[in-house]
Amino acid sequence: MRSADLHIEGARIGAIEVARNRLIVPTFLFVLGFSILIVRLVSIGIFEDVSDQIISANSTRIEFIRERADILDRNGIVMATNLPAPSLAVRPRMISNPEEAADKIIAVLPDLNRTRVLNQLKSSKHFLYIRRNLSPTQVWKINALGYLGLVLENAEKRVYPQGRLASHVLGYVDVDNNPQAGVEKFFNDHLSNPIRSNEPLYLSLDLRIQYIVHEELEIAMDKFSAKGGAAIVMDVMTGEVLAMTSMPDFDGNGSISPEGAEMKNRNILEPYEMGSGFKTFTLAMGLDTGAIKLTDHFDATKPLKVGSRTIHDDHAKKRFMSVPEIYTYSSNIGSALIIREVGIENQQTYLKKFGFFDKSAIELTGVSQPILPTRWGEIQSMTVSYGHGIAVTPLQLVTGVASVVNGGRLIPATLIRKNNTLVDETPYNNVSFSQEENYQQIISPDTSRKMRELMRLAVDYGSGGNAKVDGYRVGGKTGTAEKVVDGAYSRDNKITSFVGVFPMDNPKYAIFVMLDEPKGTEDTFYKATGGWIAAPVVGQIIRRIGPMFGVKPDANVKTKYQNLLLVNENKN
Amino acid sequence: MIKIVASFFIMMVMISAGTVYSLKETTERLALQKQQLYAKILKDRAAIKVLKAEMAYLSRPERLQDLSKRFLDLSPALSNQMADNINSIAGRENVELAAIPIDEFPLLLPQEKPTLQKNVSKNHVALASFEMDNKDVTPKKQEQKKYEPTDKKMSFYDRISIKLENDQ
Repeated sequence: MRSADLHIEGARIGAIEVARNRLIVPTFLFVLGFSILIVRLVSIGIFEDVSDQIISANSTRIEFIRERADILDRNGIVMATNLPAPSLAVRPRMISNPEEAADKIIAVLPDLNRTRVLNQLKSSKHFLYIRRNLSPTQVWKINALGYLGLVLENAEKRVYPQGRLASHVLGYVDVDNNPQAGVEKFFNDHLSNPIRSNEPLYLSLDLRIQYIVHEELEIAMDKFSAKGGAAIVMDVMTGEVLAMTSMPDFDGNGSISPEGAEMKNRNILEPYEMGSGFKTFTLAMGLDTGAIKLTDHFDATKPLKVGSRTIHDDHAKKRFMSVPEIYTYSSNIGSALIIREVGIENQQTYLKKFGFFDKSAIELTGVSQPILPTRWGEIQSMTVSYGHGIAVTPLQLVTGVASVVNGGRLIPATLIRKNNTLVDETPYNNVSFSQEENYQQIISPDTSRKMRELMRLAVDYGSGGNAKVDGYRVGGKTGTAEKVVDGAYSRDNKITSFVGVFPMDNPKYAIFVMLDEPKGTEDTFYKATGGWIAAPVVGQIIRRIGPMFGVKPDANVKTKYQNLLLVNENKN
Repeated sequence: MIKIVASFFIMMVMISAGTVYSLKETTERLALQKQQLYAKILKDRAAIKVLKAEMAYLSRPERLQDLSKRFLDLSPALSNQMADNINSIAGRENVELAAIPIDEFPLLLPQEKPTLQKNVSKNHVALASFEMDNKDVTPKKQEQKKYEPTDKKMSFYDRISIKLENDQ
């Protein structure tokens, strides 16, 4: 009975013992609890990465990242950008008084149809879009209405701040920001890549030139009531396209009808017969092969009969003509005789080298193939020599002319800025042909030099006289081609073009202007030829961009080969 | 002895646990701060984008040209305003010389300020959007408002008639 004794002996001690036994349990629990806390604390502090957790929890809220990259011109001016434009949606079940809500929404967005909005508000669906692309003011007003049922959903809209300028180059996007044309489509991999969204796309276009070209072409289109027009300005030394415009055009911000005539970029989409502009290449290949010399004379006394066809001159001189005269006065007979000397095979090789056999490699979609003669006999070879029976795109023509004057290298046209210098920062100096990059040499630099002089003669004394600009050395060649209507050449519907280069002693800019079906006016003596319609536009463009880029005027640079011309005749 | 060592270690564990905890607190706070800054940067960047787009929209060449035509007495430079060297600067060749000084340094007489001449080439087809004689360049002259001292004691009818007269 020891325990009983103890129990009896120390009733007080026993009570303490019980208390101690009872204390052990909570102490144990407390220690356990705290040790769990400490272990957890240490493990969280040491092993878990804090920042990742927080950012990943919040990153879903940041919507700015998914946007499309900007498109800038070569000087960094915004041409296409994305702006937030939230969409207004509604949860109809959370709208208690649809009539009142509809009235208030109409007050903010007056262009909506009230009945339709009311139907949407009364609908039994969970979620409905009312309107896309709200402006910031509208967003503020909708928020001020204070309806819980109205939801503003983040969305972005592609905006073209320059409107119609360069719309054909830029292209456009549909409502879901999917590119449909132009650079937007060609560079979609870059533009839509979320990682590169902070990397804008620099185009080679210069907005100032683009504007001048656009404006002058528009004025000319109005003046001569032309059906359409196209113009390109290209840097002949780098192949960069500084301006490209096609009329009629569209505004990428507005509603777009993809099949409309205004969507057509005439510079790349349609091959045209270029007419006399092609004589530039005929002479270049003649001089380069050595088949002709500048002092040679050809018989242009009477129309040339080849097989069943007869080749006439538009400005017939009816005498023997020297090679510079053939070019200056744009003699079809002369160029046909020159190509007879050059030979069909040489002609094909050279035209292939000039890039007229393939489509041009510009960064745009929808570039079309040139149309070549199916059979290349003597008569075809002769018509091709003055630009008939072969149809190329304006861009191909400009690229070809650029290679004729830049020292004979074919530099593919590009819409992407090549170096980081601005146009007016590149010094204008008289360094002859730079050979930085290895481009294909098509004609010799010597031939190129001769061709420059010939092109200058054509402006100073020939059909391109209207492109003359005081103080600047302008060269160029007119082109007038009759359009094919129902399988036959039409006398009334013409394509007039002019391709000009300046300054001629060290070419920098090649400028092409084309007008589709212009009508002559009183000023042009009702003539609708390249010399009267397109040449003045090029002159006007040069007059405006020359001083802008600090091209030094110097009218005293003498033309060569002047002695080979009989210039005292009537000039047109 | 064991008790002292044990209590020392327990102290150490508690202190280090406390440090770790406070470290973690600080990091968390910093991370939050960083994230807020990041969000703010993104927001500012978006705002800058909007402003840039607006800038591009407001400085559209056609708008600028319109504004400069209306408010500035300037027109774009022409090729005849450019000189390739110092001698071809306007009118230098027909400058009158006062006398030939001893060092033969030509002394230029002050001459009339060169005026821009309207140059019309013979084939001028007036495609130019910039003509020298811009009619709309001259700033609008503000109309002088007729002011007649109005007598406070004038009758209502008088005041009305004066007002009508002014409006005409």
